[in-house]
Amino acid sequence: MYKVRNQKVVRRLSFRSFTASRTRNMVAILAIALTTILFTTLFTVIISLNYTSQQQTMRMVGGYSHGGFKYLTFEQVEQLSKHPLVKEFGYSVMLAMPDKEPFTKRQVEMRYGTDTAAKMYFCNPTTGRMPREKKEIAMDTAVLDLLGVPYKVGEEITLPYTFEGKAVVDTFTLSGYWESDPVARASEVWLSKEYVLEKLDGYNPSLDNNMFGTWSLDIMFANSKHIEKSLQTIAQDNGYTIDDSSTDNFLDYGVNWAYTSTHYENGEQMKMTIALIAGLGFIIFVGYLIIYNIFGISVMNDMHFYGLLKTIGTTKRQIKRIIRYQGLMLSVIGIPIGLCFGYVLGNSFVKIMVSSLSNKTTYVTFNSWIFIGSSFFALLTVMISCSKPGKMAAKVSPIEAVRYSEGNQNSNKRMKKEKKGKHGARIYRMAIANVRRNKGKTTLVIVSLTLSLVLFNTIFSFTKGFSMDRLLDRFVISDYLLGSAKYFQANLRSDDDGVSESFIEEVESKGYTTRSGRIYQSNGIAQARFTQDELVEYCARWGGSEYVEYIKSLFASGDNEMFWYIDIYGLDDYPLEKMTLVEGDVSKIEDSDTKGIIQIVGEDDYGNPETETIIKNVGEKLIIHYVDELEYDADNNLIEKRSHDVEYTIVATMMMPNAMSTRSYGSPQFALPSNSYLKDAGNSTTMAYMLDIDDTKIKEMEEFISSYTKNVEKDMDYESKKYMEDEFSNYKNMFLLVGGGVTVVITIIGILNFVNTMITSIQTRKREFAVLQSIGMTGKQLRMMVMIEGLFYTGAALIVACIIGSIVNVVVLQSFESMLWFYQYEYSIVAIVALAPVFILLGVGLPAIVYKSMVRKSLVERMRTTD
Amino acid sequence: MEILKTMNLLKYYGKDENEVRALDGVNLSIMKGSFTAIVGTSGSGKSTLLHMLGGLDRPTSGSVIVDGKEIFRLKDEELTIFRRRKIGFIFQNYNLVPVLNVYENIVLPIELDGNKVDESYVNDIIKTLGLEKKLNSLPNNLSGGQQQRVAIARALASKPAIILADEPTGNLDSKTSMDVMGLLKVTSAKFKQTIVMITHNEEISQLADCIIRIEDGKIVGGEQACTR
Repeated sequence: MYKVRNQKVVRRLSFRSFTASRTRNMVAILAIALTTILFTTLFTVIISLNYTSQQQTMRMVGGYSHGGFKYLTFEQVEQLSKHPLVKEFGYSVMLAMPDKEPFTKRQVEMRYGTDTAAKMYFCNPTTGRMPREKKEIAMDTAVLDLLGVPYKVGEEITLPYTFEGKAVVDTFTLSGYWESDPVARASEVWLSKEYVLEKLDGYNPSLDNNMFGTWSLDIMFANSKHIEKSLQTIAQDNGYTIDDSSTDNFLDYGVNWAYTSTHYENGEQMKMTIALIAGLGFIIFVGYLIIYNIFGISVMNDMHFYGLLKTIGTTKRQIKRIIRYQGLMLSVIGIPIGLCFGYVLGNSFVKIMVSSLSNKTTYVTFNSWIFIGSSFFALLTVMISCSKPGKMAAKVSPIEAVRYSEGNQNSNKRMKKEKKGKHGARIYRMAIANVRRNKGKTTLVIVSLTLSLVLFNTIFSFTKGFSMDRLLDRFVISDYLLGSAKYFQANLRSDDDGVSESFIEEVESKGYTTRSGRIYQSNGIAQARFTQDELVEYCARWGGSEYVEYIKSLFASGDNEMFWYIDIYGLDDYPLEKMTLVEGDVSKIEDSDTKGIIQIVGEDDYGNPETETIIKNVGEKLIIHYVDELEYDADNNLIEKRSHDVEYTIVATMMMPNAMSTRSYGSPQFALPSNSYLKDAGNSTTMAYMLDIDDTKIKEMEEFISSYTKNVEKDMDYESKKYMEDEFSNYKNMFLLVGGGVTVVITIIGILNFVNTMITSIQTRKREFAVLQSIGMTGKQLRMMVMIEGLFYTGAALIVACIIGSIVNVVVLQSFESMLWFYQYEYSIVAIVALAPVFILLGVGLPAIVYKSMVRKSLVERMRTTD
Repeated sequence: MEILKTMNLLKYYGKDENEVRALDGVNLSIMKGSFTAIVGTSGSGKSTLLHMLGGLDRPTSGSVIVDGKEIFRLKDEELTIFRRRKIGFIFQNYNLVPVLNVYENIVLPIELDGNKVDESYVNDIIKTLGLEKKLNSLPNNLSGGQQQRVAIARALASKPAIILADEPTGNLDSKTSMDVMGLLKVTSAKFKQTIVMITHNEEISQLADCIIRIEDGKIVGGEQACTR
């Protein structure tokens, strides 16, 4: 190869010809910016959603540290934190967990911790600071609320707690506080080091299972890879082990599962990756359609110029480089513009998506990968798009180049003389011939326009298919369902998590109720006898083979039957009516001689019974073991104090709507009528309260309950028909907004492609038009011709879009019906039809406008223009 | 010394009945330093011949030897590079790069080759052609005669083995034509360049050292070998 120093001249040529084509540049910059917007939006959405879910998990876990060691002595903390793998660390020690009033409902931990530890737990004071003086204290707003102390640094705080089995009350000064996090499971109360160490002096941590008085060390490594291995290394290098808990040098450790890959199990990561790749491929295609077309047209128009360069002796490689440089220069301007807009657009999409999928907080991340990735792919698209036009320009033989004009190759095919026919027909034929001069260009524009139409139609018909009826059928069994907040989070733990009687009373006192009923359920008080086969079959559905092995091992002693935890409901008449019979006869349940019980099976997404969860047959006996009272034994384990067994006969198998179940699964479920439940179970916790109300009072009731649960009983919550409807339309709107946003960008790209093609096609034919006019074609006829040309593009796009839109409808959307239970497929190309007038108007109007601006110059002037 | 030679050069366009024999066995030989005019009517094949001589187009058969090298043995890329080093072109429509100024146009072939511009040589050419005051102008701001002088300067600048001129005065009025021709002849003599020019203008062709006539793709008159 020739070692040449011609970079500079190639660059100069490139730059000069670049500045010469200003319109082309504007269009190209716009196209590159739009493509970059799409890339940046995609990256922002994917990275931010990922980040948001990671942050959510961290908040739930209560910290962002990678991992750490627990139950240490202070000496161990000092020793371990010196390890070179440790990049940042914080440590804390717990003094007590007050559980008497007012802390019965909130887990509160009193600790001393370093500032870093507070930050790692998301518990550093945002107002004020961490305690320094002995009697200083810092806490979150939730604890301040419980104590009834105003949010003000310097307030006196009296805090009761238990230490070494003795009640202690101490008074502190508030040195700082922060907004409590509703997601976090516990609240931290920070005390000073001096205070905590003084209290702990002489205390034996083993008294309370090492809960108090032991130190926790939280660690950040250089990155979140191999956290467990790093912890192991640290332990081993200091002469400890984290594997064998029976040895003396065992260290208890924890890995923050917000960082672990388990987070991505069930193919989440795979799905994300596929979505990313599909998205990238699609955007590259969209970007290619327009950028390639812009460069293609520009090269074709400059053919003469490139031919000329070639006769002078510019090599292929040099010409290709000239075009590549131009693409690069346009990218330098277009990509940053796209990055800015795309980032903003992407973040607003994330906000919309997160808020309609759940009520979580969005985390905006300024991840540099968003910009690096987007720039890279945008540049890649530009380079791919320039490559063929570059080759085209390079390939032109100098001879042809000198004579080149668009579409000359098939000039012999063009426009045979029309012998007869009306004058309109001739213009029409000319227009069609003109459009067909360059098939590649025409195809690109049509594909580009079609794409936006099809996408628009798909998103529109998809969201239109969201079926409110299916949703209401599934989720709404009564106008209102009252329950505790924990019930709706599928997080029922204890009898305290039932509906409060005061809540029910308040709602009933309105007098709007037409029907109502209670669903009683109590946690962990009932067990029933099952055979090994029954249990194995049942449990195989919920767990893998390991779980089955575990069940089998429980029977190892030779028993063929054993007690297993069940969920048992007590149902009032109203909820009982909402159950669907699968087999048996419910009326028998009222027979006094057979003690009847109903077996419950789950309901799948389409409202069919999950027959695999049937554990007993109708007519079989079932012995239920009720635990009436529990107590602690000497080793601090909960044991039964009083219990009784009742024998029932299964009279029916019924399906329970998920909306009124415990909303969790894994235990066999049975139901009794309220009266026998209350008698046998000896527990009257109401899990949920269903009511229907007067239709005319829906608005008032909604307002009342919504404000009541927000302001009076904050731990109560509800579901209502209206609320579900609103949620659902939010969800639907999210699809419309995000999908619509992307479609708008792609539509702009399509239209830009069309506009660019039309403008350049009219401008390059300036001279040709002048010649046509000089030989007698009227201006009107010419305008008609270009209008027909424009119409051809948009018309063809509309027709192709109808066809492809229909195919997508039938093939893709229809298959969604079986994947998304709330989706009801319906064939629709309404969106395309609705857009048709706009496209037709655009097809006719744009050429007319461009033509008008062209004819401002005189005929002679236009005829004189060469090149 | 022979600088350019063609052997049995054939160029056919089309097939069967449509076959057009643009060149039909052309043998000619041009000596170094000579000024040859190829004369013929429109459609005689003279432009095709010039394109072949310059390596712009490939012949159906036969060979062209420039400066001892058989140019059609070269690959496209090599041919391009050979062309910018050994052959200077002057076209009827000047073919200047519109976005570059006069000086940049003149030195373009040299720079494309990655070579350093021989300043004094180029300045000499510029002075001889009277372009000193126009160096920063863009081609579109020049008259036809001026543009053609720039093209001549460009052709000379890279010190090619041979300069091919295709109707160099075709777009110029007769007075300007004679001026440009005079300059072409003077500069080629001064810088010891070989020139092959095609024209249909008898008067212009008289300025050449020798004239080759071409008709229907064959050489019909003048000398087969042009010696001074």
